[in-house]
Amino acid sequence: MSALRKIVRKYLIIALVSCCGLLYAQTAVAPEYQVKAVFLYNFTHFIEWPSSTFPSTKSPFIIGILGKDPFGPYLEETMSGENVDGHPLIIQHYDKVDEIVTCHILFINKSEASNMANIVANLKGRNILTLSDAPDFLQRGGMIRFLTKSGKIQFQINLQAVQSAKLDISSKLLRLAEVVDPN
Amino acid sequence: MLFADLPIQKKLMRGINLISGVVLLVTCTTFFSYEFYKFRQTSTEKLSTIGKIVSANGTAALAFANHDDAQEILASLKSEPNIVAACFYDEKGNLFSQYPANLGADAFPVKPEEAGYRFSSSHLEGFEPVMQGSQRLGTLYLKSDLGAIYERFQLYGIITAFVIAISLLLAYLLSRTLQNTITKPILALSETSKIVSDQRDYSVRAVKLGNDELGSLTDAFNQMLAQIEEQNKTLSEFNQKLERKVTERTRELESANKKLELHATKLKESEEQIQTIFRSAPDAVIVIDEAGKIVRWNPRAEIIFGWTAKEVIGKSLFDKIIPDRFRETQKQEIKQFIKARNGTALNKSLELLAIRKDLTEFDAGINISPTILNGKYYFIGFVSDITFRKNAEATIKQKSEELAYSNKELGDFAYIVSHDLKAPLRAIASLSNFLEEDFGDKLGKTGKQQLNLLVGRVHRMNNLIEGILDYSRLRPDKSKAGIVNLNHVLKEVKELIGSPGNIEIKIENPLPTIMFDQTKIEQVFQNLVGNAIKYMDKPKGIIRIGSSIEDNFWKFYVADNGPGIDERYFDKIFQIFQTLTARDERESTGIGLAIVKKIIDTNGGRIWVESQLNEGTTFYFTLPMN
Repeated sequence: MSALRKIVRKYLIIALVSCCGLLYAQTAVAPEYQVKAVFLYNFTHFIEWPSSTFPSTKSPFIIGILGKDPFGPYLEETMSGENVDGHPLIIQHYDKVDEIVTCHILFINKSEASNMANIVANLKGRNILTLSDAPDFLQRGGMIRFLTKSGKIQFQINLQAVQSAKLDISSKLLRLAEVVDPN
Repeated sequence: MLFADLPIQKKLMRGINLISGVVLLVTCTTFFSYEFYKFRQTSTEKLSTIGKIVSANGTAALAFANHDDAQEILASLKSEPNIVAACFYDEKGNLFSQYPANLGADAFPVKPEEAGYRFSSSHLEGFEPVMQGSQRLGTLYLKSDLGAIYERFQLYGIITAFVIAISLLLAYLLSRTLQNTITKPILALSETSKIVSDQRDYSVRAVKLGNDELGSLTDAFNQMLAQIEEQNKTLSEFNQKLERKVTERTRELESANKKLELHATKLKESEEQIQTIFRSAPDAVIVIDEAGKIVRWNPRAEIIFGWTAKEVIGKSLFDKIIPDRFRETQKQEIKQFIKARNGTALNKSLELLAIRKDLTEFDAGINISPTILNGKYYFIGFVSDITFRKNAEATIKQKSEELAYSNKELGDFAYIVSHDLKAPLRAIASLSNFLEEDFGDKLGKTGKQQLNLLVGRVHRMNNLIEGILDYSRLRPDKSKAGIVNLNHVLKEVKELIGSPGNIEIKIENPLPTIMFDQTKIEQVFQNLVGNAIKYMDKPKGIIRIGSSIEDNFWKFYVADNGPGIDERYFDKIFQIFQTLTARDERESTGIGLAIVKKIIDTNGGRIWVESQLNEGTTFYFTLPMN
């Protein structure tokens, strides 16, 4: 029995150490992304995608990140075990826009800002909600832009772009957002 | 006072008021409870709805941690003044946003609790999960003040109380009117029944006030009264009959009692009389039983026989008073009677020799009668010492024989004397005739006159002698009696007398036919009627003759309206040779009535006279009917 106990104790210690390492890694990520990860997830509740985007009821709900992932572990934490109307949540990272096959929400890192117009144009006509921190994201055809005002994370919405992507956006969400006309 | 004892009016009133009170109370309580429950439910539902709306509205605010928005949403609760506190908890259960904003944090639960709404003492509070789709984003807390509710319920209570009060008042007023329609006939009935029971007057009738059950009850009651009245009448009639019967019976009983008393008195009297008779009877009274033993012995018996009652009671009668030589015969007589209920010696007077205590014998008259007392035969014997009577009888017999002889001699003498006297009288008459014939012219007027007087006296003398002869010849002779119709007799008498025209003879009723010597009854009527005519002094004379029956006698009368007879002479007129007028005035021998009296007397009758001077005279005489 003591032999078995020793083995269990050894693995517990390993697990704890690895956890500590994870925690450390997380703290390196900017705290605002923790909130943004939650927001990202919460958008799934206030926006409806056309059913054509789900080939079956078991088809996954895919959240994609284009460019560098700024969320660290938060996104994973937020999404783990959750689903959207029965569709399991899957996070996918894309380096290039061409890689995107099926995606419902696409967070575009501001690192891609120089190529933004190209990306947006590429995604035009597809039912993908695009989000980004990039300052002229909406002007370039993006849908929702996070911004921080007096320490609070807020968002702006390009309603035209959302509607042209055939996405139904909840008025409740619109009430919180700053609706911007990019033109 | 027990409820059951209350007057029906009060009962009804109380009943109605109690029922309406209970109904009202139950109704109001039910409504109140329902209202309260409903209100709570409604309040809960309302709060829950508000909660749902607010939470729905707050989803985005929570999801995107927008405090301002959350604040704003909560501030919208201002329109609900009942809601005194509200707050959002975030997904982790931390207080996210509160309302009103200035309220201290301790006014809210630290952590959200289970979803749902609960009533606390004065508040309704609840937690509503904030969901977006299936995602829980947080929790809403709502707290509603129930003061308003309670205020409302206070109002409700006041209204209810007011309604109950008004309803009770109305019920009371209505019941007063309604109960009248029920109690009035009942009271009338009760009043009537009270009169009936108090005054026993079954003729009263309850007044019918409607056609409901009380009406039928009144009818039934009246019918019952009628029946009772009828029965009472029958009963009283029966009673009267009974009373009458009782009275009748009582009267009968009383009369029977009276009779009985009378009877008892009579019995007592007769007993006393018997005792008196027994004690003071001139005869010896002796009672013997069937065996001939002496039972009673009266004082007279003591004197006659010399034995005292003490000495003889219980002894054999025959041994005591019957001489030896007759004793057996007497005993046999008694035995014979008991055996055959008759005997030769019983119930008739016997004369036999009896013996005294001193052994002297004497003639005794004995009469023995059987009698039954308490089912036993007794014999009552009356014994008298008839020695004296026997002697007297013997004397009377001798004397009457002597009298008869002397009477006959006297009769014979009178006859002979009369007969012998008649011969010289006849000679005197003849000689007088010769004198008149031969020397009539020589005698002269005076001589003739005197000669006539002589002839008259001779005639009178002759009549007297004839009368004496008649009288002496009157002897009772039954052999000459025969059937005589007195009507015929009177007819003959009237013809014989030839009454003058101024005198009427009236037979006032048909006279009977009797057994008598016809010559003698003719003599009687001839004398009586003849006398009446002879002495009649009235210009119109009436002689009435009639008969009647009195006891066992015929009673006859001969009445006239002549001069009448002084009462002094009522006896004298029946004596022989007695006349009330001078013989020269009326030619009379004074023998007629003497003969009449003799005839009546010798035939067992009686004759007497009733008269009033100048009015008339009535002769009565009786004759035995057999």
